[in-house]
Amino acid sequence: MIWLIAKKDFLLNLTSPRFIIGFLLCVVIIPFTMIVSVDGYRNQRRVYEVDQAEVKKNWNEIKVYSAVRPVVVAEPQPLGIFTRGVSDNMGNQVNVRLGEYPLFPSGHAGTRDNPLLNAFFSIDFTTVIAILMSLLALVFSYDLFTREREEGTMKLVFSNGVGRVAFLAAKFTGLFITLVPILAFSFVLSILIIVLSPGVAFSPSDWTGVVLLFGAALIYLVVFILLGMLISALSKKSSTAIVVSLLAWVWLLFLVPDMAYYGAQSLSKAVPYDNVAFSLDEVDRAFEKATDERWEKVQKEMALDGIGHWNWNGGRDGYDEMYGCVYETYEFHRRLNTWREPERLASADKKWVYQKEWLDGLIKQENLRKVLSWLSPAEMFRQVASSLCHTSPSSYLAYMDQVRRYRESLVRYFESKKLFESYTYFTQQDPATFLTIEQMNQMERDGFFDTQNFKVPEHWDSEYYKPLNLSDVPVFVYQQPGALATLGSAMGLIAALLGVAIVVLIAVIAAFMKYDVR
Amino acid sequence: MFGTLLLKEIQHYLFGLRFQVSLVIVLVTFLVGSLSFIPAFRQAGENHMKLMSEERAALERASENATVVAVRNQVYVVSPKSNSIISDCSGQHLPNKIGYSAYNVFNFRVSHGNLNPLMGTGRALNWAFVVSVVLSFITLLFAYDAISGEKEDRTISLMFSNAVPRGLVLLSKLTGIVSVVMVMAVAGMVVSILTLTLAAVLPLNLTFLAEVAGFTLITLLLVTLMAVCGLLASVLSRSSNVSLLISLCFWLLFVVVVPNTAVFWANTLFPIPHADQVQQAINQGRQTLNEQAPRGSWSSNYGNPKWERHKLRADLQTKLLLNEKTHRDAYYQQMFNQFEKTRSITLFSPVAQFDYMNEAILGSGYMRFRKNWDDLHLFQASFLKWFQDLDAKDSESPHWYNPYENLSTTRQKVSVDQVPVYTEQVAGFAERFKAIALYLSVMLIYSAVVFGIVLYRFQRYDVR
Repeated sequence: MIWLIAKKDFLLNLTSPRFIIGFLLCVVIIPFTMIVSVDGYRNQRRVYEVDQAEVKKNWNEIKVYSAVRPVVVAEPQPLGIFTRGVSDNMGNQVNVRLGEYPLFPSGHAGTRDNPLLNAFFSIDFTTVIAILMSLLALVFSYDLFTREREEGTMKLVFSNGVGRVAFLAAKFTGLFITLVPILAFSFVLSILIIVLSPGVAFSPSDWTGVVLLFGAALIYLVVFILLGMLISALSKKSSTAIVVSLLAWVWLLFLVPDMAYYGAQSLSKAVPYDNVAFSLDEVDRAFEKATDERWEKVQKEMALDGIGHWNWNGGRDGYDEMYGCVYETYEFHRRLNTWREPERLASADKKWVYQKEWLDGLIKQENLRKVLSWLSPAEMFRQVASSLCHTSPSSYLAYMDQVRRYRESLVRYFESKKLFESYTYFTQQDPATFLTIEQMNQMERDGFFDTQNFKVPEHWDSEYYKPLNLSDVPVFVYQQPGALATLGSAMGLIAALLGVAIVVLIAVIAAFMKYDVR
Repeated sequence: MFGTLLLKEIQHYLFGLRFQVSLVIVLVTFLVGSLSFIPAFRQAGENHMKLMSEERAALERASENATVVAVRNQVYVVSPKSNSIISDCSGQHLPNKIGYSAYNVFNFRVSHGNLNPLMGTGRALNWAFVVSVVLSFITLLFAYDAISGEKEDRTISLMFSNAVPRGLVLLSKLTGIVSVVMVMAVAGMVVSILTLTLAAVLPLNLTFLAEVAGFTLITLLLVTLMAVCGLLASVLSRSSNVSLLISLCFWLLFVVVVPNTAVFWANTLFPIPHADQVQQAINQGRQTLNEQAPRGSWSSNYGNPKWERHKLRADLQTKLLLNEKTHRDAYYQQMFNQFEKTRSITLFSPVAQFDYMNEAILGSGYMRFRKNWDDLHLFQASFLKWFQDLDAKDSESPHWYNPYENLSTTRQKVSVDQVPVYTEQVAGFAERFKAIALYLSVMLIYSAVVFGIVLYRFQRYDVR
């Protein structure tokens, strides 16, 4: 009997305008969303390849160890096509520096070259599924009982000895098998777009993620079907049920997530980053001041009037590269670096205290938002999806933890090789060719070279030297969690979503048992 | 007769469940939005003050040397506005920092500095959000069964058994829906204003009241247009179920589909080069200039400003600046064009029209950004002129203008109060009116056309 009723409902639904319109909505919205997302991913991928090539090229041109400041380019997540999560807030590069702990990726953020386009509201596949499937579930289920009651068919059914629970099960099954094909069609359509898009390659682990995402979407669909059934079981008229259903939909889909966002901001204060930046600037200024003092001290110790350079390039985070200088200059820089670079590391530790405090504040605020938004099943589904697609906040935090550990290994490398105390930290010129000021002046007077007219030895030019062999320098390799670990991280939320479904189911049964069928 | 019909409609809606539930949702959203605005606005204000004082301290440090004042890269940060409770006009997604010096306006960027990057970006719960998302939905919910519902209940045939003109019935239904929805909107706004006034974050001055009046007017227009769309859905079908689905499609189209496809249209119809391609062109120009520069162009001797090679260095740096400026300014112009053209496409959605009108009324969003961007260019020219005049007076200066470095121009101390400071100019009434005129015309024509279709369909509607 259950199957008979379910089949009847299914066939009725199939020919109803709601099914046709719902199906058409998916046909229109899903491709647009996927095309935009795939296009965004391909652009991210292109930027990744360009940046990676640039980073590799720069790495292969390094001639001094002070230039060894790796840039980690984050590979875009293919599953980000389905759920962007917080990826739009993150850049694609991490500069690994000695003077600062990396916090978040910077550089090319999101998928757009034109930052003004960020003003356009844009949603991903998961959000579309969250909006459409919940809407369809409610539109199909709001009059599940009220219509039968209004048409008088419910009395007829129960006069045939059908139990209420069996009737409920039949109604649910009929609706479920009506909506699952639409959901499956949406996934198949999106997978087709992915498969047909050049430049998009999914690994077996990614496909597992898609399957898990489909599973989560099924649970989500069940929650909203049950919610619609509950509203129908609590209403006497279809007109009441539809109004309540749709207002509940707007509330759960559009208002609760934003209220959770702003509620978390109001209840859990995070220090503004600008304030952190001021504190970091202060530490930097103190470091620069101490460096200036040290400069003068070393200069005094070496009894030098000034420090002259022939060919000197300098930059951020201790980068110095020089050639054709006098011995005194090289020695001066070696002595300065012996103090300055460990001091730079100590300065980074001081800055990390502020950074960590800020980061902890952000994590606390995000956790609160997460909990507040559990009032909306749609938000729970989105959280599950971003966990499965590696675009959740915790995925980025885990990534940055790995980058910070990599920085530590790099520091150990510098220290173990005693590079800060070496000339190779800032020059490749052979110390045997270093000339003292006196020797240099004498040789210029003797016409060996003419600095005014750039007639100087070729080893004074950086082009003379080959890049360093950096094969023993640690390289960052991101250890992405496998499908099982990913599932494990999303399991709590999936269980919570199932829990919501069970609670609503119990409420539906309780309400329907008391339902007046007359 | 119109009065009687209208009264009947209003009574019908006011005592219905949908009004009661909708009113609660609207009031709660307005209240929560206002309550969350209070700490956020205070925090933003405090933060901006801190930024300003840090900027002042940095200027004081730089004022020891006039050239440092001229060449240092300053950042203009857009200040928070109290009228953002009405609408922030996508302000949090638009560029809010502009980098400049006396020599150039370098760039703009979107800084989420004070937003939590782990939290994604929520849509601000301001009045515009409530109107464009919640009230537009509620309006359709009121209108979808205005005709088809009465047909199902057979009340419409009863009504037309009296000699009532159809146009008048339609007008009374439209007016009734708009009135009831506007009651909710105004009630929400009053709750919000009271909350914010009690918290002392809102200056209840004439400007703000004028902005509120403008916002109320465009809310009325949006609600009217959405109601007309709902009536269209109602006259397109004999069944209220189908009308409901058509209404939901309208809403999804206006609120979700059109804005969501904007980026697709932007990239497909108005493509611009990728940022890295522009950077590549800049790098190529830089490389060529470096190769062509006379030897010694990169030499420096800080202790001797008049060292001859500083002239070469200043020339090279100026050329490098022009190279970068040429490419970047052209790219920025392409960005503006792409954005503006894409906005024209999204005008298909009444919600987009509403958002853009808000921007003009409040002088915020893209309009504010563009004004700051253009005004900063004017300011930069006067800033450079000020510096050049100062430099001309210094006999110690070789007057070789180097846009990036403190090497070959005056190193005299300058009083902080003498340094020109950029201050934002609020868009004038004429500017705002000019900006709103297009969107207003589009919305009025849109409403008139859709209402015409509804009237046409309704005249032929089978009420039996």
